[in-house]
Amino acid sequence: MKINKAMFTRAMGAALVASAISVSPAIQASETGAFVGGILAGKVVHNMRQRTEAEQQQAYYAQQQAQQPVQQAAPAASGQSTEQKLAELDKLAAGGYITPAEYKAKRQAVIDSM
Amino acid sequence: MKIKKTFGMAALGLLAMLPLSSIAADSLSAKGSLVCASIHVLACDADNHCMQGPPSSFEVPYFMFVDFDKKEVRATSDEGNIAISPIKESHVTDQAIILQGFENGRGWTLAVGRADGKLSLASAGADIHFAISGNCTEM
Repeated sequence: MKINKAMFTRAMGAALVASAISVSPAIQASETGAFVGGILAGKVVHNMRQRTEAEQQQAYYAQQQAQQPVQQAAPAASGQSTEQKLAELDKLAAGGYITPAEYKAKRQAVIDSM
Repeated sequence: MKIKKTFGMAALGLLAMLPLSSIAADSLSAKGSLVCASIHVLACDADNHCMQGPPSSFEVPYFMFVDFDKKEVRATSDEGNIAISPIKESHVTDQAIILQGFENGRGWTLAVGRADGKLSLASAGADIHFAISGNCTEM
């Protein structure tokens, strides 16, 4: 049992070294600067900002969607052209706020109202 | 490239599953080199808005290497470039190897449990602070 464990550890070590070499072509690679305060912090900050922006955008669209029934109550007053209505529908569908079936039905309704 | 990534992921999985007892056979020393696998990342901004996930969700390297002889921590970016952080301070206690550094307006502390190889890397800056947990073993 002890031998098996030792063999396993050695095999793991070999696998790790091999993977480190294959994943990180350390010899050929050029040095680019700092690790923790450089690429690591850079990637974390960048990805966090990106995800925060995506969340904020999603919240904004959700808010817009919540306000939509009020805007829809007076379609004549809004004076939206057919082109604008279709563009808005495209935006809602692209954002995933309406289903493809809803999109199709609404689109047809807009076209029928011409 | 895909094969390399798959192989890397497999090795990472094996390292994560490695029984602690097998690492603990000899406690880690601050000599030679360690290879460390990142498993989880937690990042928070100054407004206490936090995000967490696997290294891939932050696009950070899965592996990092601690070289005690050269007094540096290094990793390879996705683009294949080596990035190095010099170790400014190191402390070895019975329980842990603790390394510290400072660069680009950001401080960091890396601690490795000598008995179990568990990794904790924390870095603080004015904007965002983050912590990485994982496992280390001697190379």
